[in-house]
Amino acid sequence: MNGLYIQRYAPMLRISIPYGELSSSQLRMLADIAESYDRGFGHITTRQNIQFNWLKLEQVPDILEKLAEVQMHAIQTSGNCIRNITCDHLAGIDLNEVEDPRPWCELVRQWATLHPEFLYLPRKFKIAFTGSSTDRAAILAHDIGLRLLRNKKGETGFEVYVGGGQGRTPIVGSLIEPFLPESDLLPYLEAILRVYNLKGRRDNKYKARIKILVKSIGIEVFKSEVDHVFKNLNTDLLGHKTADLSTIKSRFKPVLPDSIKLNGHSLESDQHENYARWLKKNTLSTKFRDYKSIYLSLKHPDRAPGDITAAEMRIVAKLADKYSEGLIRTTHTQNLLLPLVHRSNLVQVWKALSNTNMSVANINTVQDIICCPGFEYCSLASTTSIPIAHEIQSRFMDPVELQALGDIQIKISGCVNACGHHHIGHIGILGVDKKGQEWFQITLGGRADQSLKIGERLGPAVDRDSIADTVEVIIRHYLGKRLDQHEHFLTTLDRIGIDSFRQAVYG
Amino acid sequence: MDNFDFSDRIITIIEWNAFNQGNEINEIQARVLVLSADSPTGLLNGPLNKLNRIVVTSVDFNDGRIFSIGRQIRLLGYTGSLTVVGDLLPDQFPALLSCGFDKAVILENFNTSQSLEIDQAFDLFEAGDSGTGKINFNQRLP
Ligand code: SF4
Repeated sequence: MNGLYIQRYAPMLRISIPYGELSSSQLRMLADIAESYDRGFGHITTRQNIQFNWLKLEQVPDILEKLAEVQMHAIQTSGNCIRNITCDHLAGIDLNEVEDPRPWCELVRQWATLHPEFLYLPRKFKIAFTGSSTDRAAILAHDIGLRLLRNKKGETGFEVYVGGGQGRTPIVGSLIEPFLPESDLLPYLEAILRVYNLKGRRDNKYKARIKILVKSIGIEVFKSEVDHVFKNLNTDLLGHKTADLSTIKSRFKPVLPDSIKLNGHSLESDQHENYARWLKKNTLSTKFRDYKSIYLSLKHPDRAPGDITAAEMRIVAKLADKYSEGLIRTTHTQNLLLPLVHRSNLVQVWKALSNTNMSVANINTVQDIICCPGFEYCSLASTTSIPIAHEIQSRFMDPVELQALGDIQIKISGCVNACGHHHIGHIGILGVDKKGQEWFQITLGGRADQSLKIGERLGPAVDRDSIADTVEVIIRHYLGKRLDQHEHFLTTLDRIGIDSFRQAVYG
Repeated sequence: MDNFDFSDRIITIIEWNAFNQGNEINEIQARVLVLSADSPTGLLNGPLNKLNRIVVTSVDFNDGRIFSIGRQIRLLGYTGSLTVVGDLLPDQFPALLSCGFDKAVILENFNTSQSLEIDQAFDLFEAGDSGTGKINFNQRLP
């Protein structure tokens, strides 16, 4: 439960970032830790946490002490317990949101932290929230996925999904409750967790996740057991005393930063094109008319996807202090976000970022790859994964082409454990070991959104030397076949069928 | 938590089932029911408060079912002594207490002071939220 893993070369410490929300002072502390104890960088994970990969075990107590100074810790970032609660990174600012889910994340975080009954579950347990009809938190790929909604009477509740997950047995979460009144959230979670804790398999760790229990007894039987526990549960919940929801909600009231007037921040004539590209790909309108969200890309061939240097952390912290009320978010896609920046300050932010690769206009493009650590760090890996990401990214460096390709999500895992989410990538890549050689299986058509889908196998695995070529063939085939530049990769795939891609790849 | 003596006779599962079906227990007034994590949950359906003590055995500290079993027994209204016996870790004690256990049978060399320290440390672990800079560790032990 302490977040420490002994990896291939060094101990790794995973630090919790609840629902991906960071303050500038926390980010500065992470920069100090990266510099003093690691090799000068940290790694943002797909569950919105940060990892340090090159620590010395004996220094970990000092690191934890430093983290505590900024109210951070590593508790429940490993082990068979309820892990960090994750959330849509656009929570509270999304145009299509029913309600900000972060107060609920915080409520559940408080309930789940050191919950006495659920510290020794059969296996790890992941909960994700969204308040939007567009799912950016992959709730259907979680042990419990929660979507805030409002019923016809105007009451707030949750659509509850259970038993989703990836790994060696990918399963899309099943709907267990179409409308759970908000006041029942914690008791209902407690009921699900108790049924799982008592009935989940403990004899085989590969069959111990809740998805296997739900699959083996069926969602109806599982639901009836949960309902039985839920009915007999009185309101006397365990878990830490949670603050009442209205108090929590008051802490999440949006604070809109003022526009900062500065001279000398107009664009040079040769900057317009890059700026326009960045504006289009890396910024997003919010529900507050004068404010945009800014993505800070952590995807470039100069780094492992999700890596950020101490110097970059400090730049981001400074920008956050100046332009976004000191707030930063981590995203499920391993990037960072400044949640609310006044439109009149966008040029300043872009200029401040333009000496770094964090301003590369590649969000949601083929460069924005989700990738697990693979052989480079992970002791369970069958193959490399980071160099594969770099090879693919390097093929699409032309910013004009990158934009023209549109949104294509590539996800890479270095083994069947699927930490790189390859099952739900538009293009998924899974590394497999065959007699000591690295091979790569490709899946097409997976998706991580509200229509979550597991990708379909394209054909026989390809070898290490051919994987980047093969991905390029797939992308160029799509380019050649799409009706126009607005036809999305998945739409083209649906229209022409996977066989067309098979033909292009295998002849 | 402290040790308990075994002066009460342990009731057998057969006796308990018979008792639950309306038969009286013999004159010795057996009052201790011993359960394991694998015991059928139906065993908890009987008149638990007729028992002086329920003992739950832990064969592996990783098997977290004992926490839910303790919790269930208390939620069913049992007010007698609830004891855990077996493979445990010092840092599990605060959680076992919270789940309704009031006694544990432990090895002689078991470091109970460590569990007390842990209990106190996490008593101060207070929730907050990171977004507004509110603190998670309200106070920390020196
Ligand atoms: S998918 Fe496999 S190689 Fe990659 S991080 Fe997970 S366990 Fe390691």
